[in-house]
Amino acid sequence: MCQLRFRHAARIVACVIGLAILIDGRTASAETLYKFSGSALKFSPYPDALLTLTISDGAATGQLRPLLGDNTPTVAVNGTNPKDGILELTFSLPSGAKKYTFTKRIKGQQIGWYMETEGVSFYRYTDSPLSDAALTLSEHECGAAYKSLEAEFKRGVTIAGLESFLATDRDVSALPVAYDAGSDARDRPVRKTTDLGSRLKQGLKGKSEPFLFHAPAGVEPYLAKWLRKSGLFVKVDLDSGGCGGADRSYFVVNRGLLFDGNGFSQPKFEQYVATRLQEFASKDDRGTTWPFRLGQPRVTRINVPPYPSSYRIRMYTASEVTRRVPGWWDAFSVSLEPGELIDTKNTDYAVVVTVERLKASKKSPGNSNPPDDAYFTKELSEPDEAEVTVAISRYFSRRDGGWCVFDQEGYEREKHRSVCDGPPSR
Amino acid sequence: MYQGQIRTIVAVIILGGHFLVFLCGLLLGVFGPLLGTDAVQTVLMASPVLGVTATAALMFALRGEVDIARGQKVTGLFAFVTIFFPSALILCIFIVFYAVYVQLTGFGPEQMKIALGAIETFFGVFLGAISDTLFGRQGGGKGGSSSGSAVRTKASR
Repeated sequence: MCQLRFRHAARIVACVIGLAILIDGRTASAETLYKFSGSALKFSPYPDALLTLTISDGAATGQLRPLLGDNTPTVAVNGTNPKDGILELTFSLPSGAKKYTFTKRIKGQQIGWYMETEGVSFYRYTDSPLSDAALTLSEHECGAAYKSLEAEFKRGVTIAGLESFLATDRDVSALPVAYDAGSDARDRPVRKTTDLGSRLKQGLKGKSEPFLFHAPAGVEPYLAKWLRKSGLFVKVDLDSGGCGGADRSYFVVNRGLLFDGNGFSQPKFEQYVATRLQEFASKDDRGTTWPFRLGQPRVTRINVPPYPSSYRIRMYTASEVTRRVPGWWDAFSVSLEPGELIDTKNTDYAVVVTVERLKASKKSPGNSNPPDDAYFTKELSEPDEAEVTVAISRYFSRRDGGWCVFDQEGYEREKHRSVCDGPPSR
Repeated sequence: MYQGQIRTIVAVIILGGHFLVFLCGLLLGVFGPLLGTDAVQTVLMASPVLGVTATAALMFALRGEVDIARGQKVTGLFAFVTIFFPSALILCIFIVFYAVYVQLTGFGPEQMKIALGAIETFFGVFLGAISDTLFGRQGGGKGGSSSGSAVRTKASR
């Protein structure tokens, strides 16, 4: 009896030791995927790429792979790990081998390898795989741009060729997109709406020049992959020149707030946004309560994978809440579009906040509530819209223990009263 | 009621009303919901008819430095009409101002300007006639008067 127990215990110990050795071996030699950034390499039409690395016994081997949807051939990567925190990698490019020495830096849950002088780097998260958006889209100078896509046709592409490609997916071809057509008297872009197919045909008329279009948040990775696979484009990526966008603000919260067992839940999202918007509008930073009015929300579901939703509502709030400026009522339309962005992890979900048509009305002692639309006669500028955008993003993120991002490029810091907390890894 | 009394009452209504309209229009801009340009436009739009009548009333007041002639007794209808229309004009302007002050739904600064224009147009004819009858230099009849008949000093009597 005692011998049997001993044998049983010995088996368990042997199993545990074996499993530990196996896990350790896998960890030591497992291929790790990094997001690579370095246009100096001229590896593909995109500034970013994907790097797989296996670091074992002081040696590093791997591949430099194109972003998802791009068919640039992979390139072998070899190197050494002479000491902890240093990596010497050689990229065997068709144009010749290039060697770089990288230094490791850890910021929060992000492990990054940098070669500052050449502007080449790569990173990964320790607690999450890279998102589909990160594997598909480039990260530009002003951070994780979204909604705005840049495309450039290859030479020789014909309308017939484009039309036959568009016919392969009518739903995606009919996706509503917007584009800027000049500017108005106040130097604000005039935005026109059309379907993706028509916009691409317009872009083809511009021959080999890059052109832009604004797609709903969340569908950018799918669109980029779909268009890249057509073989008609030199590149399809997030807008590379998009610094200073007033609407470039988003907050990231735990997926549990927006997901149920089956993935993203539209009813849960609607309820979450409706509740939080009311809370946001009712109280300023100092805890003073203010009257507010919300319009009828409009929830739409985009008919393109991953089928994101958009929540749009007209809000009438005190300027103390939105812009931290006393004495006004603000009226604006806000869109909240959830999606997986470049810097979201598998436990997070981002919501892109866009504020438009911001107008103000002076408060009157004769009325304690936000007035009728007829009183909102003062049109406010883009920095004011940015202020409201950030106030909303910041409220949502702080309320639910998340974080938010806003690109301040192009805005005077002294005028900017709300600040986003930024992701923990930055 | 006598001519002199009517003239005095109407002059006080118009002069005081014009001053209050001007003041309240500016206050709507300073403390109320109107923006600077809207407030100036409001004052300018509310002023023309009242302003012209107020000028005539002011001239009348200035001419009566020592005394205002009592004049003849007027009919009740005359008294009612000459007091009612200036009062109604000022009241209508203040109703419009109040609607803006409490930010009545559907009645914004643009609607206010339209309303003020309509009020000015409607009352312009009546106020012109009343002004001419009470404070005008020429004219005759029961209500009509010249400066000589409207205001007489004690010495001239």
